[in-house]
Amino acid sequence: MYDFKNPSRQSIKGIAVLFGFNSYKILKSLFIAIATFSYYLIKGEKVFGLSLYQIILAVVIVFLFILARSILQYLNFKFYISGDDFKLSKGILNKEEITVSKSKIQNIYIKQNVLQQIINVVQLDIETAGDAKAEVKITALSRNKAKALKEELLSSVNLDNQEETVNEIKDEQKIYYKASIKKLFLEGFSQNHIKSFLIIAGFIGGLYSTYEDFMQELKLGDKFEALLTQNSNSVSTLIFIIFSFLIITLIISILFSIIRTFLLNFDLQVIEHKNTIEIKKGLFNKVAIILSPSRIQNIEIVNNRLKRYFGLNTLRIKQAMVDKKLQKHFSIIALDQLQVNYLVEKLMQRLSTTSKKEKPETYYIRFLLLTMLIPLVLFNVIAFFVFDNYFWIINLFVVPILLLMIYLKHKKAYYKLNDNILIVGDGSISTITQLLEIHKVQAVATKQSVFQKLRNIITVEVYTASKATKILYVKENRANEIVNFLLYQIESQRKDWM
Amino acid sequence: MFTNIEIDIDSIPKAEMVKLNPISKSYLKILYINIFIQYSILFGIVILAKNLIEEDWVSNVFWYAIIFLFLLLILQLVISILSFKKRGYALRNHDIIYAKGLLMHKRTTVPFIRIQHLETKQSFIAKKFNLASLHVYTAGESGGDLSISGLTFEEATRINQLLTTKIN
Repeated sequence: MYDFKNPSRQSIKGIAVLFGFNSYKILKSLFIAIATFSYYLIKGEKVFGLSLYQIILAVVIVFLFILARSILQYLNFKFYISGDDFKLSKGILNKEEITVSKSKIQNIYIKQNVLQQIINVVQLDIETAGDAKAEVKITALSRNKAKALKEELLSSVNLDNQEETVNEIKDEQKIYYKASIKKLFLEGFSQNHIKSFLIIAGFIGGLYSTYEDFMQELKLGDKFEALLTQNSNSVSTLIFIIFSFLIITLIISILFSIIRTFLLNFDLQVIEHKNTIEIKKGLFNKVAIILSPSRIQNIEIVNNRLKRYFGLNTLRIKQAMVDKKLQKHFSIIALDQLQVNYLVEKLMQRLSTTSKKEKPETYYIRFLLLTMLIPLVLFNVIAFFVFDNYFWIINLFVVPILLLMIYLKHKKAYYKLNDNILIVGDGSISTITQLLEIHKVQAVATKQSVFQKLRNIITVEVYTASKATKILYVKENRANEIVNFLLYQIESQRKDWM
Repeated sequence: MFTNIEIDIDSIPKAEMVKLNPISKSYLKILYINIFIQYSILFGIVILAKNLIEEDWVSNVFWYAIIFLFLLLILQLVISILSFKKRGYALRNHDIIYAKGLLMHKRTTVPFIRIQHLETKQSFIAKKFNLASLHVYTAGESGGDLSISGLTFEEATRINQLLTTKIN
């Protein structure tokens, strides 16, 4: 067994991990410098009058410096447990002493990135209440030591945690769900490809602005222009070029969606423990997340028409006090309806359908139409002056799509309220069902614009520790009823929100 | 014995019936001072621009800019005065209510049992008028926090103390 009473360092392999992290940081911050460097090198010119030999020497010196820094970081990084406190000291010149009381520990994550997988170590993050970001990060531990440390840290005063973790260890772990390759493929295929396109476009745009000079050197623009002018005499060729360009973009976007889904959700497993649910997933970045019902604030079920047809629902879970970076991993994809119901019941409570669906007032449609009209008119006025007259034809495509979106947005908006749970429907192309338990509500607000006041309509906002949920456009007296009811439930039950 | 009687919606206390306490009149002076500072800077920039940049278009635009700023100033003053009347807070047995906003009126209620911590703040100008603001924080960052500005210092500390005893 491991002794955590005496200060110990990370695994010796930690130097490699630290070296990797430090190099990455420096490479990232010097990205533009390196880009211009490589540009001049390719052109065969001297950079700042330095010869190739001198450049290599400089690079070697930088890496030696990083190596020295990594070794010093490794030597100065010590942690131990004394009594009920976890203590960590680090820093080469600026010394830092971190003390975390065991009872304040909210969550312990064990994760592995590509580098850590290669040299076979794991990273351990300790998260405490009160702060949104993980305060303690130990980047290189052997898997066994990490597990032992996790157990040691959780086996203490915190009764709630103790119960959960001890159970987890003894519990026979039951794998409830494993996403098949086929399901992942379908999920990737039915994603929002516009989003993928925007990500790719952003990436290419970023690359282009960095390598702008280089690209200009290649004279791509001129070649493209030449291609266009060559064929400009036939309109059909132009249409063909535009059309094939669209098709290629679509195919790339779809491929990107599929690859992204695979990378993030590879080998997705949902493991059932006695009181909690564990999610494991990821190809290069493996993540393991524990969901505990007491800390869950909101749940969202997301699907769309195509996904419903394939039986693919996504469950997004919002947990309190979670690192922002990690929050995006709190989702389970490719679940069928029965699995969704089962998990919601396990994580929150049974989805009862006793209370009736209530819709926003029809004034909501008028509001959406008006908010659509202003940018549309503006767009058309500008287009009228900038482009030629036939540009308005684009409205024939844009207006019906916008109208359809508004129709769907109103159609999918509803709310259901019963004694313990609030369900709010949302979405236009995708369908989003938001769930929250009433005893987890932190505050309630009503919002009313001057225009809404004229019609006695109001929007209710319900805040939990993770998210604001909006009940849109309800009649004033009904809104007051909802507010009073929610406050009454919170204040009379006096249940803890966590 | 455990009972679970159905709740009669009409018998639940009504939060909308509570009369809100107005905040201190001197807070309006602070609003004036803030607006005054803002617009002195804006006017200053325009006037400086006119004197430093000696090009035709600058002097052409100058009076339009001044008139535009002046109208904006009047609009903001009117909105501040009108929305001042919309500000108000109230304490009930189990929660605190705060409302503000003219064009978008927002009324937030925070139950005492959800309050994480409290803060009384006093800016440099507010100190001159013996005013303070009270911040009520709940868990998380979703936006359910309250900050009541324009309380007299005594009021703010009194409410702070009252809430502190209620929380514990």
